[in-house]
Amino acid sequence: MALAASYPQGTPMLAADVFAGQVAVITEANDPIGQAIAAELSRGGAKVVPLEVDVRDAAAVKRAFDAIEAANGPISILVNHFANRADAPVEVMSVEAWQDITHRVLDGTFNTCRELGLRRIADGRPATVVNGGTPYDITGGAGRAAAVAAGAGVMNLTKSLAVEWAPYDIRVNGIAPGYVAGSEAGPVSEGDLAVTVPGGRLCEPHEVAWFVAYMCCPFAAYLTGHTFVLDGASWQRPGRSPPLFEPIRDRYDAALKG
Amino acid sequence: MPLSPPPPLGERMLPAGSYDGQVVMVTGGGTGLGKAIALEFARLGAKMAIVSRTEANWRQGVDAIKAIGGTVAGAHLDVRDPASVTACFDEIEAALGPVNVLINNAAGNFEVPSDRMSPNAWRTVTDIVLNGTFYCAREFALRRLAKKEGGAILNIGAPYAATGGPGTSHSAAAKGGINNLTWSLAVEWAPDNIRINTLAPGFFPERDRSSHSVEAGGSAANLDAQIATRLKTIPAGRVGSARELGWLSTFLCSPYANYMTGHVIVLDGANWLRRWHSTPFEEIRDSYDRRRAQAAATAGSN
Repeated sequence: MALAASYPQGTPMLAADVFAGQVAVITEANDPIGQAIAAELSRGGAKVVPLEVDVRDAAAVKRAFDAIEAANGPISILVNHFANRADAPVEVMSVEAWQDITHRVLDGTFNTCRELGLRRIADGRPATVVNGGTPYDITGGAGRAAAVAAGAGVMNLTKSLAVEWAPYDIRVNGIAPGYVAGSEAGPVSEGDLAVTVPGGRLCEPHEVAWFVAYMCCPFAAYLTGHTFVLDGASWQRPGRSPPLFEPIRDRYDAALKG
Repeated sequence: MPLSPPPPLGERMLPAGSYDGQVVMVTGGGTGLGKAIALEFARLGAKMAIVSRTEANWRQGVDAIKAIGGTVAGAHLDVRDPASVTACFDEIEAALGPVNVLINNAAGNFEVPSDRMSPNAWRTVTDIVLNGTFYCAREFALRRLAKKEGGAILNIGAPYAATGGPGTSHSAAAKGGINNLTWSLAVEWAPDNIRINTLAPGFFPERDRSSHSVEAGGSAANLDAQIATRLKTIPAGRVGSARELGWLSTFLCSPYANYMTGHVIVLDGANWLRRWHSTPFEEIRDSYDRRRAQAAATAGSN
């Protein structure tokens, strides 16, 4: 018993020319989710360019935007996607690890958004941004405090930028998928993860991509400041009879030994 | 400079025929936003059920769908009455077949400071908005479960469900209840492939709305004046067009969104995200009385 499968990967949703003439950039485009998003934007006619830069470095982000725009024209779609990150209980987390993760996820998102905003406000062209996140950004996430604190900051930044940039026709939204097939690096198998989800299955990368494509398309012209949670109703579970509570350090130690 | 205008009315977002063979029921679908949402499903091939309390209302929705060549049936429904809900589903099922998608759009609301709100006013609004949504969702799910088939429910909520709604506390409490119900039912029914989400629209002016206007003294006649005032308050710089809700609804209830359930979507041009720290505060009683007086003066001068 599970939520039904969506249409197969590659099924068109939007018209083939919905993004015609648009340039899209995506960070960390090489994992299954990033690849699926790139494929879906391409299917709509966008030129998709991976943003291969250290997003912690604002000057480097500027140079990368310069190079991409010189080769392809103005960027109108920005997707800030971050692959799953290993994390640790806070008391064993180094300050450097905290800084590395929060700089990449939160500061990096700020840097890319700001660079796009500066350019599109200057030339008056519309643009859309989709910031990636996870449901833990809403609930907190024991064992991944740095990534989800940064993600919570991103979710909040999405809301602030939506209001600040609506007058310039720059829409800023977010996507927070739960467990995605092919993207869960932890020790638990996908089958064991699926039984923890009310929806009874994992999310497919192309399901994430359809939501991203919708958020970027003209049919969503009034949508801004919103983060879609796509997790098969996992985060709503208050857990009346969940498995026994396991302190995060025990789980971490067991995973290290395993 | 506002957010871009939406594509023109009549454009499809999803592929043609996406809802072929599906029965979509819209409560309160005869007028306003419900009718606009129904039209987008009809454009994609759905067989539409337009159900509402008065025949004059559901006939408007039926006529609008016939006018674009859609298949449609209308029926009486009082969402406050569980027996009426059952009878309505029976009637639609006989006319079109089992309902695959339910849009809980029926609502009632009017502005009144809470200390002046009668218990009857409270009961009426919460009965329609919260209880009606539950009765319809329950009837829909029972029938889906009996057939061992999935389905999708979309509730129409409100951004003020998250913030409270001073001046419309009955509606805000009921809409807050809808958000919470969305979360509970999503978890309960996910194993049965019944998805439930809530769409919370911002300001989408309805020229043909049948119910009370939310604004004190507001009416269809002074809608343009309301829009002009509201335009200055919305970050997007424009109001919403009902078809934008329609497009999002057709996406959320389609197989493209088969993993999305238990989610509340706010579509309001970022309006509810504004912080009002530089806005003068006016007691709701004072603002209610002032706007009522203004409306009366305007009506008197016409």
